[in-house]
Amino acid sequence: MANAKHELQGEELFYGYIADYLDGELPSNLVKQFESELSSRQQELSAFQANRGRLQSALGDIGGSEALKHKLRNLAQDDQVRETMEASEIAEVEKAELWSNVLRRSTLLAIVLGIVGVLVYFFMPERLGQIDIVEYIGYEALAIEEDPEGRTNLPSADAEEIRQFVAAVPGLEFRPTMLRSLKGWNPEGVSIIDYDFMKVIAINYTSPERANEKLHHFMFGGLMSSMKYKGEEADYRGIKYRVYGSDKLNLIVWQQTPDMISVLAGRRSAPELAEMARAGTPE
Amino acid sequence: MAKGLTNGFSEKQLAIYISQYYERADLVFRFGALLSLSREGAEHLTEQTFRLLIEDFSQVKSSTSPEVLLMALAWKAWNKIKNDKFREWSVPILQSMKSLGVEHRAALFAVDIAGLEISDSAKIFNTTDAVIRQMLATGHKHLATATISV
Repeated sequence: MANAKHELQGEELFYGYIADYLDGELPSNLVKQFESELSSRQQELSAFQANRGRLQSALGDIGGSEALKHKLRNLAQDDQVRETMEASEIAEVEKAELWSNVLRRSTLLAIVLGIVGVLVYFFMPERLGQIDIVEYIGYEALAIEEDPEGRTNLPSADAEEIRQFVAAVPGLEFRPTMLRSLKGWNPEGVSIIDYDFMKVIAINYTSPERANEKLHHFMFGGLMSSMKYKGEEADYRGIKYRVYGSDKLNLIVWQQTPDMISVLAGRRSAPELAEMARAGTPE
Repeated sequence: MAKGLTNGFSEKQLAIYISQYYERADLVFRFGALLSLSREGAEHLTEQTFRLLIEDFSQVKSSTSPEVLLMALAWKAWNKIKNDKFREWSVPILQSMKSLGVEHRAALFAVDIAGLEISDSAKIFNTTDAVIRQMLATGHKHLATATISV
């Protein structure tokens, strides 16, 4: 660039500092000189301001091509290697994402299974408590009596045949244990009641001595302690039993074996039923 | 791990190059456009400027202003290519600046477009503050009196 020949004066000073003036940066020692020039150059001041803005704006709108940027970047880093690296990094990220998804889904599945497990754990022991199984059994006893043919799976008076049949019933949660022979009561068949939540086996008896009065021995899996019951348990010679009743039937419930609950349902009184339970169960 | 570095760049230098200089490539391009009044010239000037930068990149100090260094290298590059012939760029604003001398356009760009101090501009163009001020006076008068098309 050329050398400066002189200090700025007059018009040269005006244009030399016009931008400083507009930007509020005019040196204080030049204010007087600048303003004396400005008085006759207001139009130029406005034109300069507008055109400077246009120049700034127009230049701001242009830029180098992508090819140029590519070339400039390549001066420092090889393009193909960078692209390969980026592809490799993307693949690694995708792989990590895949494993992350697998892990996340597995964790979710484990949590869901855990929740289900916990629910099952807490629900199962309460199953008998939530369902009034004795009430169902009361209805079943009456239904068997009203429709013995339709509700009997094995019509038989043979205790051994009944024992074998009962032992072969699939899907039981317990090992069915028949009562020993009850004096004055003859077996007449087996009914299998298949609820969604459990299977119940009923061995039906009849007493010719009592005008063919019926008695039913129901068996199902579980613990009596898990069943809803508000009264006190009675004890007849070691048989701890609960009494349930309706206007047609009496029922006693006891834990016949560790995994099996028994219900005797009939028209006998509860103590009589308990006596029969005692007689039919080895001490 | 190999990063595909070229021209002896370290990873740190690459990071500085990209963030401090490469990202300011458009500043050099615009400077080149105003000097050469040509897209072709602007691209050529930009490439030459960055080649000069790369040559001595290991000497670049972190305290150096990237704008000042790029402008100084661009002016150096311009002095090498100023006699080359480039196709004119029919951008109205550039056509409006054609009647202004290239040195005046350079000073105008440094101070009014790039926003550099007069003293920095003087260093870039290897001259004095007073010369820059005179160049600006001419450039400003052109902006105040010429018909500027956009």
